[in-house]
Amino acid sequence: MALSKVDVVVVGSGAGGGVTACVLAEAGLSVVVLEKGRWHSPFEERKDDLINQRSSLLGVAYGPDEERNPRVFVGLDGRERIVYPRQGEYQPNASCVGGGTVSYGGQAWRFMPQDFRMRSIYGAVPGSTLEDWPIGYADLEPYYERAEYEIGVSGDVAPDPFKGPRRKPLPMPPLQPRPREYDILGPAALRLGLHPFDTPLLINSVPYQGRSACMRIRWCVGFACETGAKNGTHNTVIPRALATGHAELRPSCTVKEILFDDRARATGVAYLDEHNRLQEQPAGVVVVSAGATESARLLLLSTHRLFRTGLGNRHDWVGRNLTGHTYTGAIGFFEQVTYDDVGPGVAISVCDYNHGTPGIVGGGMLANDFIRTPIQVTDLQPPGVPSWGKAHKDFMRRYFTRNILVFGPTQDLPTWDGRVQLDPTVKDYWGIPVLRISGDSHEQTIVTANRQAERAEAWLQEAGAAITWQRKAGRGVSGHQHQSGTCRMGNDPKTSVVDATCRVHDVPNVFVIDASVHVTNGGFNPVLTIFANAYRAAELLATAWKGGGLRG
Amino acid sequence: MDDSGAIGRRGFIKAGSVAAAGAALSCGTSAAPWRALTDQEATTLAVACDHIVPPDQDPGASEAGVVTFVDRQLATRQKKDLGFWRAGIAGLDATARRRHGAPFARLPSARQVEVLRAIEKGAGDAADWRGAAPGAFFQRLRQYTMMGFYGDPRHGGNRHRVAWAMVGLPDPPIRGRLHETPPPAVAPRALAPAEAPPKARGAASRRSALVHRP
Repeated sequence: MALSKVDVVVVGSGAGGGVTACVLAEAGLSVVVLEKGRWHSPFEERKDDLINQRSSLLGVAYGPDEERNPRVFVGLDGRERIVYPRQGEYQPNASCVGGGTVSYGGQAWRFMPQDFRMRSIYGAVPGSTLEDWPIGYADLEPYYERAEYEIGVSGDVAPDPFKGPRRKPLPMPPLQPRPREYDILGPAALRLGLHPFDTPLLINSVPYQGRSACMRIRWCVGFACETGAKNGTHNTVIPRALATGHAELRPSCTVKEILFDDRARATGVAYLDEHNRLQEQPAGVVVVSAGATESARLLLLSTHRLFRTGLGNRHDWVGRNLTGHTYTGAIGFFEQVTYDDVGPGVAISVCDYNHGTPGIVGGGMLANDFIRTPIQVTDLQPPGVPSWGKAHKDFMRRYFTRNILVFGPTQDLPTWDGRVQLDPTVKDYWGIPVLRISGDSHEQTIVTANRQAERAEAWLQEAGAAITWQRKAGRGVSGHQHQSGTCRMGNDPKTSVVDATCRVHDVPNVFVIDASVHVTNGGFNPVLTIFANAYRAAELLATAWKGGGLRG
Repeated sequence: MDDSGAIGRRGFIKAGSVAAAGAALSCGTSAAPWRALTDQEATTLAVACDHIVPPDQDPGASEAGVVTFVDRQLATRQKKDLGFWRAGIAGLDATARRRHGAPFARLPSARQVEVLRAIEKGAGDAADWRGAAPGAFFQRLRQYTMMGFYGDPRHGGNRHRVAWAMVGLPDPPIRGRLHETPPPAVAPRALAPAEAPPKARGAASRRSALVHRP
């Protein structure tokens, strides 16, 4: 039985879907948002250091449901196994109203202008599908600004000489007081000739838009915020969308496929509601914003006689180029106490190493890490210290309060074989084929990431660390919370899935608006770019709708 | 999800008695208090985890409630792993018998460490390790001991936050909501398990949680 038709159905309420729903609803379109996860109340926050988005040792806190949503992971040895959301191989991202933005760390980076032109700058890299974006930094700049002001960003990026041009400063000053790590790392960076500055964060340093300033607790990254001081779609754009009166949010709804008419025009979606009843939601436009792994899955599940292997997949691009970030860095142990119990912890960054190193393709930002719980330090013992026994306990006793981590996201080079596809046999709770994840890192990514680890160690040594060691790059396809690339944006339908407006090439009225469309993922946490591109794409969509071009 | 049930409390007390008895095989004659493990498995586990985080000036793993932590997990969230743990603990005992002629918990401490080092490297007779590979079991034992010792007390380990006090992590000056018992008024090690403070709720306990312990 079909429900009443709406102008737009949005699949997913994370960074992409939340912004899209808000822009469309405020433009006067009727919108239904279908979210697979549930709405988490801040009052149920447990601050469990073993069950959260950062340390999911005993389980995940913000979805997806662990029993209902397996995946298949193909290891580097070719062996397949079923994996669950708490495992890294799953490439997990939160699944709830607000998606990853509820529990993220909230680093609010603009990509640099070079990040949109990687192919032009570095040329063809053998073994990589490296390409330029069809849009540039200048196209996104106004929308970056809009995201910074409407969602809310604190920090001070003015001292960063490598950033792209910007018209306005960040709307909020950095969190005060700065953590102790800032004071230790800052002078060292200057002595090394680097250009440190206050990390931009989607966290209120002052009361903003009716929500309070951050209370600086230690359970920040990986946790929801009780006071609403951490800004995600769940406490900014989604409430705004709902306040218009013509947007509806339906949590706990799992979309099964996009429905089409005979001419392959989308007519809506089929989904399983919170009681697992099959429903059909007719819509004039379908927007897919389920994250780079699940958005690709939904396209592959949505078939028609004109595209039997999945929507947008006529040239076999859907699900390929899965990229996240390769995190490397260094750990420094100090004689003095560095721990101050002040969250969120990350505070100081440099962008000196994002581009411009001879022989290196790209690079990444480096920053001090988020504040750590004891369980997170139990694996940080330096080489030579055993991983258990009296010596390990002594290590914990002495160094839990005396360590600093400098890490950063190295820009992954996309590859044809780093991908998600539908598994031929394994199904989820609802009988829908699950994702099968496979691929390896590009070797140049490993080189770059390991260079970043050397640089991080040099910074810590300059800062006076008594013992330092590098965390080098591990191999394997990367996705995780920074997953991107699986529905590439491009002008040529033969080598991309969506056009520059994020519309799927094959059909007139299906859009993908999330990190799936990122051609490359920058050397930065990608969420602000997802926000900005969603503002841009949703605005274009609203304009097209009003011009009548999208109505069947 | 709520780990404060009555059976959990009994397990909690039991873990203390294992430690109090110096990890000897002295567990009571009453019905097993554990939710998933047998008495004997719990005793072997208590001895093994005390090598991962040994007692010294601060409590070791079993005193901090690691066995309770593991037992609760195997009765709840990680139910499907019970067979793996059971096989691993049996493998540990079988390896001890094969190499040194006695079950793991009865060996001298130095021999116990030898056995743990061997299985850490994956060594072990295949006949002793059915259903759990020695290396994989060691890694699980280590990981769960770390979680039970250093992790959140709500899961039955890290009793009275002994690990957090040990590493110098202050009780939080600000908390969104009170979920746990307040810190004990006396030094944790002096507190007998039966005197564990009641689960506190309400405004009075919230105030006490705001006191910043040095």
